[in-house]
Amino acid sequence: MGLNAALRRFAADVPHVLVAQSPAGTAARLAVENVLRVRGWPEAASPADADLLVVTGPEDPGLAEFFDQAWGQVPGPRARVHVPGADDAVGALDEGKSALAAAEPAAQHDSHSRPSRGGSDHQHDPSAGHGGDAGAHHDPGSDHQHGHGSGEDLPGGLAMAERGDDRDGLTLDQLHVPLGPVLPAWPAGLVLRTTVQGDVLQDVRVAGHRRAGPADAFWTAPWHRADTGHAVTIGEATRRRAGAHLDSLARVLTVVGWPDAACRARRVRDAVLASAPAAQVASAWFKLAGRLRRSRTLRWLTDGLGVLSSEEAAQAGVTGPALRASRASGDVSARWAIWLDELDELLPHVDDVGRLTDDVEPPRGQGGSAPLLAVLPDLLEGTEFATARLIVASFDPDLAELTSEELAAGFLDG
Amino acid sequence: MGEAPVWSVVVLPFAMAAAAYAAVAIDAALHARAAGRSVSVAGSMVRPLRSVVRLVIGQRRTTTAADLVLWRVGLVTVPVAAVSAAVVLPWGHVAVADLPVGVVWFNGMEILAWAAVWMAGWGPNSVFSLIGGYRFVAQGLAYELPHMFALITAATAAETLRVGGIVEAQSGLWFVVWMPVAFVVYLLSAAAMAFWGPFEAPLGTDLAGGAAAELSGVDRLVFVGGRWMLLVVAVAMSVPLFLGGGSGPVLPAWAWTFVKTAAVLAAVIWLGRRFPAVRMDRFAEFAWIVLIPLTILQALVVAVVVLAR
Repeated sequence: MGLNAALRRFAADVPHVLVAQSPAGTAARLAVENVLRVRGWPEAASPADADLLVVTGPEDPGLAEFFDQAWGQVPGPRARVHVPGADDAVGALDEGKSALAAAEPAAQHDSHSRPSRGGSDHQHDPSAGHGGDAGAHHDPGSDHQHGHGSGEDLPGGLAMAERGDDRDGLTLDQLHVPLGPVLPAWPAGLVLRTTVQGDVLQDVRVAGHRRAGPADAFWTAPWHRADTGHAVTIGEATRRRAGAHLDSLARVLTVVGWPDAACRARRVRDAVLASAPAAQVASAWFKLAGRLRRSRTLRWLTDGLGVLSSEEAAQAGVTGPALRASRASGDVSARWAIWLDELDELLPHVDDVGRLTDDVEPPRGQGGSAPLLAVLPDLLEGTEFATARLIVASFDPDLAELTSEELAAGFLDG
Repeated sequence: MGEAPVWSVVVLPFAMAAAAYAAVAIDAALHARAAGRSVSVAGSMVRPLRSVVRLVIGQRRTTTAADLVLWRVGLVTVPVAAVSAAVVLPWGHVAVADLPVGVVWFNGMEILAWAAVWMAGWGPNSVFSLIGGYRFVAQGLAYELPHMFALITAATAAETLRVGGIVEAQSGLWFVVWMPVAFVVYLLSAAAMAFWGPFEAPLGTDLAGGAAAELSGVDRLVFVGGRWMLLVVAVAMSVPLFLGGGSGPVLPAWAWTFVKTAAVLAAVIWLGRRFPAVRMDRFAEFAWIVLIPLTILQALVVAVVVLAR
């Protein structure tokens, strides 16, 4: 047994971490990502590759079910920690690592020790949360039956695929797949209810979870504080806006499959938000920006995807960088290029001590994220999965920004 | 060109695993540099070992209504294909088997990867996994023809399909000098075949890991480890095909093979990290409109030179 324990300790030194964020948990997520980068702990792309599930942000009952489901799919030895706020990141991650090192050894094929899933509707959700099975694990060698109510005669108790016409006039299988909320580089809390044929999204409805009430939206906090009468400097708001663009940019780079560039964008983001001096941030940024602008491959991969015309943008009430991008070519390339241009302008002013006024807009413009969610379904329908992921990342809506009026208006009711 | 003793068949998988391990270490060191961490040789060498131990002691998952047979066969086929392809790979002047149709054997083993990744993607009954498996089929359609023309070019110049014969034909001049297009396309398709780096879409992060999304424990080790072995063998084969195999001054042949292979592998890994992952809806067109004509032209030039000799 001593050897097993030693091996577990040896492996637990570098846990693979699955980060699950609630919309109000941006600050906690950033802190966690920063620690992971410094320590070199990889971020897992799916629950199957994780040992440590890290839930960031305040508890969110609407999301708890999804997070439990992801947890049900993490193989042992495993640990789960909660990081409510940025200050808890280091302690929680250390705790997770110790728990992993001390975890009970996972017997091969023994899944009876797993907690049952959080009561999700597994029959109509053959891939809830992240596209796997809904997390029911069974012992392949046993005749252990899951009780699924109806559908006992179906394989594994899952709903079968239906048939539907595809874009080429063929009749193909259709699956109903929710995308999110636990996906790499995905807006926190967002769930897209989709119907897919192969890798083509046919029908997309925007849903998601955010606790009603004035959620603490990290990216717009300085503007919120200025509105409530606090003195906020231009520099502070500029740092937040630049940080938001860099965070979104890192997501686009992650989704496009360029991990090193994404990592560099996050490093600049963390430096900006950690109040590093303007000169230091600028030199790191210009190196990265030059590399991105020179990359013909990146442009080639994102050109012509998810074109939002300026009329459509104006009609939906889109503001900020997404609106300005729609006046150019309006595609994914234009949207990330606008972030680059704005960052060039923003980063020299991160130490500006002037008082924040109305002409400095928040990261996603005065209109916030609701219009960004509103334009998604039309842009996503008929696209292939990889394209759809890029389109979502290029808008990167922040659900925490939604006001209670917007929630009541049904922006997340898909 | 000689053949190694029979026991070398047993050594081969271990040698491949060691080479794959070294490749992972290089890759990890480059990523650590991008993340701004200090990189030490010792740290880079120990790190993959932690991952291996983690996967060996980790729990294996099964999914609901999975096609276990197809799934597991697919996973195991990846390292098996890589090791089988390495049978004709010369080390210095010796290969495990110097088959008269070595190039065809090599290409045939590589193509096993198509079936392997598709089966691994289909098996777990999971949407992301399935899409990942199909992405690799599309990738195969894009890279395989340019790849085969590149292989044929080297075989044409040597007038033999025996890998040993191709090495011997380069005693005067390395093929890379007068067929650079074939060499570059070969390395490009080597990365595509190993679904690695810029061709990692079948295991894409956007798909939560794609064909590997449901893998844990030993299953993941076999599949991902096999993928690294594929990369190593595909890149290593460029040395006998285009870089003169073990030929070189002063050092013995086996040492030259080692030096050249290590250099090409490090260069490929370094270059591969500098590009985003190409999607086949864009790359397939480029492969068919640009790469196939280029490789055919290259083969034509080589054929004319051979006829004129």
